[in-house]
Amino acid sequence: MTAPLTPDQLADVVAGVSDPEIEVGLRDLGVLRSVSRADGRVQVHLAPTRLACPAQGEIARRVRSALAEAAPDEDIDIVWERGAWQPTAVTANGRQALRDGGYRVAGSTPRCPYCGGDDVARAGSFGGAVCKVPFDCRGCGSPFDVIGTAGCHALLPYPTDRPGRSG
Amino acid sequence: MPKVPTDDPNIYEVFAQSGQSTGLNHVGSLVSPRPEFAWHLAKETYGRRDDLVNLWVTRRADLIVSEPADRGLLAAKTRMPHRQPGFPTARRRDRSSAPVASADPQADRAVADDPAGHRRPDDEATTARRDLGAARGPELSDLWLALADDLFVLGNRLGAHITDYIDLEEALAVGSIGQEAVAHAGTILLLCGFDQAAVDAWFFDRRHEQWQVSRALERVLDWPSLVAGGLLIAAAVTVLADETLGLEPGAAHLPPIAAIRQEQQVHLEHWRRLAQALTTWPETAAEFGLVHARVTEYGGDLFGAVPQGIASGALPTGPAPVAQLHERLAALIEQDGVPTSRLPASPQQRAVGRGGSALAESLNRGRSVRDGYAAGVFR
Repeated sequence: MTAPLTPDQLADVVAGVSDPEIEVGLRDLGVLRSVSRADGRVQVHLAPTRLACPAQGEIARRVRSALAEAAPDEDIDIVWERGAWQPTAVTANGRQALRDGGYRVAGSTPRCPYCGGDDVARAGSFGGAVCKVPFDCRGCGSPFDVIGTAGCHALLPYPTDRPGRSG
Repeated sequence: MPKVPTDDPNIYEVFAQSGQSTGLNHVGSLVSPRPEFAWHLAKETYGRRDDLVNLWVTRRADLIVSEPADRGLLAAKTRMPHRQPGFPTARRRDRSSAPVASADPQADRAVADDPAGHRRPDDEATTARRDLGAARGPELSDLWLALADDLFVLGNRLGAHITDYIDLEEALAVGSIGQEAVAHAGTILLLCGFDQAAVDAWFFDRRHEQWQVSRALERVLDWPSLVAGGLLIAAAVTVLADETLGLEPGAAHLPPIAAIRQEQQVHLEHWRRLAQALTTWPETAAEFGLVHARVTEYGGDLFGAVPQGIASGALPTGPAPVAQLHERLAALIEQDGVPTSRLPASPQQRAVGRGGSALAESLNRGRSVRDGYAAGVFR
């Protein structure tokens, strides 16, 4: 008989679950908020990047199956904290993983993930997924996506934006 | 238009094949008084030097040929230019030569000018309550629930239109906006204390007679109506979100409402640009003017929700300042380059159980999809 896993250990299990679309762990992506115990049940708090994130069902399924393997006897609740995700919640590891996948995170000066150039232009308000804003790099010609709230002008400093409003 | 090129029966066209590896080619024409001589004349004229494999001769009067003006008819038809080779390169080149797309002065200005929530002084709040008169006025949550009906119908209608755009950007925008409108409708219900199963039941099992869709959306089946309706709904959600955010700073409902507001503002900007474009183009101006007048005239009921006796959940309680919200909506939808709105001076009550063809279409589609799947796919 082993001792039940602590919330921190359970959180590490959830952190190992990767996003269905991009190869990045949920903690690195800022989606995993916390894991706690309440009334003998494990509560996993997750934040979708957008309210309309279509991957919520798949993320929940992956989290449940990962936890069912690590801690078979636990009852699991998944609590979605809607609107709680911020680009700043993405960890340094997450940023690197996203860059490797051809993405940038909102909130810093957008640079091309391929050539590192900052001569980039927003290609529209809506991308192929609700959490992505399309950009074009004028240096190397690569299109890339910025992950973050599409509408959040305050968090997406565009090249021509006035300084002082970012962050 | 393609036509028969001549009525002279003595003119013949000659097609010859000079080797197995080549095709039958048109090689020339000739004049012959009788058809049986035409083939021999062609052989002498066009097959004198080379061996021929095939020789066909036909009267020019028996042909139907295209004219130079038929270039348009002859062009290959494709609705998807983004699938053509070279499209990404051409687009990148066009984009790079154009002024920076992100320097959208209007979007920036709108955001910059946007007050950080219209925080309502207390004296104004009491005026609003007095204006309402009867204690039976709708609560804030009633307004949100009614707007959730609108968002659901709008999102469904946008989803039905998603394949109709030649422009990839517009298809992405409509897809995102539709998806988010439906997600916002669901989020509103979750805030009102529904669980996911109850949200599904609310949208898919509720009888037609219990819906309160705004009359503005009754006929959002065509594109101009979707633009006018989308603009109006996005503006109404923005106004109501501002009001809700200003009431209880720090409350638990804030992050979802703030996210809804933020996302709807992008939708609002998008519809504004389209409304301006539809008003500017001579081909669409008249139709859009009519539709915009109808939609805004019927939009007077956006804040006229009929209370349904549903607990407000995480949302603030208390009567909603309907008249004020209506005024703010009227101010928000006015803009340059778009016909003046016909929004009535005072809020109207919503009609329950109507919803028109837009609601009927949305419900039929949703239900038929859900019925077609095995039990358990949809909770």
